[in-house]
Amino acid sequence: MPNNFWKDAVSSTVAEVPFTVDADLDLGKAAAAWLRVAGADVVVRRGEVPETLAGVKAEGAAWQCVPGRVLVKPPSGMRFLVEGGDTIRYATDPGVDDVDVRLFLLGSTWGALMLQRDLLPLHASAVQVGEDVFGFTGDPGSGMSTLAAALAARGRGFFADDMLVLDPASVEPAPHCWGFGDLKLWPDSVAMTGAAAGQRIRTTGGLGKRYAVPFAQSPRMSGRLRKLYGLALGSTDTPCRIEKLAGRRSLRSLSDAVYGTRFAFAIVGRPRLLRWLAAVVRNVSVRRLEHPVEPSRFAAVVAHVDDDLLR
Amino acid sequence: MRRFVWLASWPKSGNTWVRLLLANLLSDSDDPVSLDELGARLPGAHSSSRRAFDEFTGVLSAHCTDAEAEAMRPGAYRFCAAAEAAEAGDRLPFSFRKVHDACHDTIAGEPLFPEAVTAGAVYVIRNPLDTAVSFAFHAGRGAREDMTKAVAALNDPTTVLHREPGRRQLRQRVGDWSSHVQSWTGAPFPLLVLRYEDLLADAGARLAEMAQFLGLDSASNESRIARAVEFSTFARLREAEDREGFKERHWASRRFFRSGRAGDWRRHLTADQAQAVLEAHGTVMSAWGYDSEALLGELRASAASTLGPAPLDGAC
Repeated sequence: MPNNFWKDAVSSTVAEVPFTVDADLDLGKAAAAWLRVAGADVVVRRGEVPETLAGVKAEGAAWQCVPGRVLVKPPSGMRFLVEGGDTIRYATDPGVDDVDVRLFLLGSTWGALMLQRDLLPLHASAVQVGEDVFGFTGDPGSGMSTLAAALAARGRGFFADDMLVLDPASVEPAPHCWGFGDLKLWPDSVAMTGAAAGQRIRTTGGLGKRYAVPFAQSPRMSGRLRKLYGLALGSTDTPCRIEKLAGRRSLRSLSDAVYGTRFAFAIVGRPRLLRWLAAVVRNVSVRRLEHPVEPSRFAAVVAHVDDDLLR
Repeated sequence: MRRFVWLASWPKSGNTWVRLLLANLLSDSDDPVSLDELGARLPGAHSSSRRAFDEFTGVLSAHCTDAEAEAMRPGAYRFCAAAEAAEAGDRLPFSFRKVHDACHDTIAGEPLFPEAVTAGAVYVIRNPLDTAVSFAFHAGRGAREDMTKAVAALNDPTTVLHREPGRRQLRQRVGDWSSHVQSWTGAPFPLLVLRYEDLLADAGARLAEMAQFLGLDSASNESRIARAVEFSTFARLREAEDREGFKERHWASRRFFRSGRAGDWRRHLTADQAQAVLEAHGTVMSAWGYDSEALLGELRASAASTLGPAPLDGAC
């Protein structure tokens, strides 16, 4: 299948980006379409960031939350303050590289920004066929990025890695969504998917994971989420199984996929977040994808999923 | 705060068996806990779960170096314990965490397993000669080179599990067998040490001992103890694995519940391999009732009667 063969065949009904960004550091390829020099919805600037927030209402090991403000403190001397859904300030210890700042800015910090802007970030990878988006969630290490990259090698347009953003106010006939995040793969996954490896995602610490260019890239950043697969590692003897979920199981699967579930509940509020999830789950086919872990069976898993996408 | 009981061991020392015994005891059901249910039926999680780390730090572990993630683990445990306290309701006042790390400080100098979140620990210890064999079959097929690698891991103070790209769990600094034993048996919190061989000899008595240590009501309930033991016999676990598979089995190995016997090393380790273990760990072995001098004597006697580095009973 030729790369991007359907590029001119679709007409989007979804805004290509949900908001625009003016940043004083390089946010990478995935953010390019969001960038504006002036008049942007969100401003990202280096500046003063407190070590802690006063009057904390909720917190985790690396974040604190008060109404309208979220402090994110990833490791190695970085701090991010997300305010009012329109400002991100960041501060770093001396010597912290912008590549590392970008990774964490576009991770948990970005997730907090989305939530402040009434958008729902999922920890998911995704591919796109026409306007339809197919997302993959699961526990860390369950193969979300690798699966999306492998489907891209079969001609499906790579759409998102790490974060898939949904608009909970626009869910019919299927939730509007935006792809975000450059593909990131471990070396063995690069070899398994035919992606082209780029620079390491961190400049410090020798982390082996790298940015990668998928074989086929979706030309668009927006679409409608049709199916959401929750990846689950089966036993070694398990065949690849896809099960359509309903009711509480589908809601649970979607809830588990929320990027930073704990701070999502803190930022948005539990009743409201549950309403979002209920609205989304009514309009997406949520599926459980149980698959074996042996590398030798990976190609069969990819083929099985590929067959299921448009079924 | 709902505190944790660390279920700790060097890998392949009986940790999963102990968890199944506890799960069956706590479930108090007429049916055994299935292998796939183990994670859900025993309150708690793996101490190196990347999912839990991501949830309680708010940062993706995939973006962190091993050292950074390790430094954040104590904080993640504290927030996890606080959240469990709010969400646990009337269930147990503690939950379990499977551990293979040695009980050490993080690179930042903080105890990896904070006392503030610790109710206690159950440490499972096994003859390292048998541990080496089980480890070799877990990570491979039990070939001679697998045994050599397992012995090397057992003797290496820098042994780690899940160094990238094994990415489903956080990296675990296990270290060599002796240091691991000493780190846990010297830990500053309530501790019960269970010898694997004693579990084999009388699982019911040891399970009752464990239940008493944990303050479980079922500690003196002989029928519940007996049923939990019956549901967790090695034969049953093998049958269950054959029937259902087991997610914790490494894809390269034939089975998770392989032999379970004590003394299996005599069938699989060469004299050189066994001697390397005994020389490295004899002192700590003897402290825990494994007579390393007698085992060395057995090796010498065997070497005198054979020509090459074959397994001691030649049955590999």
